Amino acid sequence: MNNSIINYMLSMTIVLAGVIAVLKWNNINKKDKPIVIGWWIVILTETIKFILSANGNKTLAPYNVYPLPLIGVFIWQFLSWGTISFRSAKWLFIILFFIWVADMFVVNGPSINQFRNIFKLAMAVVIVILSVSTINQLIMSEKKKLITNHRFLICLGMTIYYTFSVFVNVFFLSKMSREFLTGIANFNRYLLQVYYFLLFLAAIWIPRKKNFILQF
Amino acid sequence: MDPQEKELYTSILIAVILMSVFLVFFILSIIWNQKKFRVLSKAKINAEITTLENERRRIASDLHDDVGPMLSAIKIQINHLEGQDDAERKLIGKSSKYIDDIIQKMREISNDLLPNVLVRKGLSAAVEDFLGKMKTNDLTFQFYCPNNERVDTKIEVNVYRLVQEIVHNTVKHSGATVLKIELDIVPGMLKLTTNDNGTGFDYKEMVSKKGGLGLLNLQSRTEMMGGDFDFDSEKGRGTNYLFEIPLAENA
Repeated sequence: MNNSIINYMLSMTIVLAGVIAVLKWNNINKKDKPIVIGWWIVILTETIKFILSANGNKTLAPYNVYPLPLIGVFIWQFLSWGTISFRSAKWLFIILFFIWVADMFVVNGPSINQFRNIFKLAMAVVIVILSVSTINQLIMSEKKKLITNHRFLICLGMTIYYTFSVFVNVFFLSKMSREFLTGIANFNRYLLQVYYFLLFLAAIWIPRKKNFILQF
Repeated sequence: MDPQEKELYTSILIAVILMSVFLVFFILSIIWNQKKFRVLSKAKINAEITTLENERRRIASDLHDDVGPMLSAIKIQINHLEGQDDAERKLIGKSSKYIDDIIQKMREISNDLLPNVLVRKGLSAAVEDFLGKMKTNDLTFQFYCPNNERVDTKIEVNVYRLVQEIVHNTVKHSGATVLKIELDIVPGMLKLTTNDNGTGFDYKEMVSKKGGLGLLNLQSRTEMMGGDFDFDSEKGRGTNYLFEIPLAENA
């Protein structure tokens, strides 16, 4: 099995969470729906990348573009969970959008088909901050077990994965050898499995929306 | 990788492993402390609500059993008085009437503190009685209770308080014309569902204005009974509440 198939299969373990969430879609509270859309953006991007790679095309364009809608969806999710206000969410997205434009078109010239990571670094920092804030809110407000709380599991996964992502992206800004950077980035593969496993548990434990319909 | 990078890579690897161990410890400590906090918070709410209910019960019983008979005795004695002239007889009549009013008012207060009908006939009858008293020309209540078997007294009192809180909130804030209340006992669970056709509210907006004390009360009482509480409200689309109280846990 070649490397790209292994990579694709490893990145596709998120399908488990995605499929469970889609099966429960009609019963999921609308507050929890944005994150499911985010999971499907990842699934779609990984599939496009795999198809492009299998046909011998460059895969960096989707890899550079998908974080923008993904962070939009994540911000929307944190907004509907009440972690941030609408105003903060709006400004956060606008700032990140400008960072993305700068990263893709201004810093080092237009380079959407080259490896870019300034935006990914900024995005990871924002996600870690928002996830930690959500976890803090949950610790104080949640009346049930945290371990089976879908928000806690999602934010925990995000905190672990994106903290390491910040770390990796900082190294990518330095002038280390390719071999060294690949070695560092390989940690990501394993961490991604931990993250997706937490998402899988979260998808199982996403609460069903309540039925307020009366019998009379 | 040159030797320097190799050394750095090894250091990073060790650091990542150590950080992972710390992270696992950190996560476990969060979960453990949240559990401790939850238990303490539940015990605190339980103690507060139990004290409140006991105090209400004591005051209701004092009013009913001590103050009530005293007032009745005074009334009998006043009624035995014979005035020497019309002015005195009028004064005695007036005083007797005042005592009647006081006795009536005292009964109402005692009943509000702990409804007799709740103790004697149970939750369904008490809710029906309460709704009858709260009925106005602007607001109609529809109450449905397909299964009115008796449950634990503590649950009956707390669920009655939930209904009171919802009705008061609806009357005060919602502008609704109809409030539907359904009380049902399904195996192992008591379900209370309410729907109104009022103005609804925006939860975030209400919290930002430092409101929501009523909701907090509902949440505390439900939490105390180990139940689930949820609500659904949007501006202009009414408010729905749902309470699911486990019966086995409270038995």
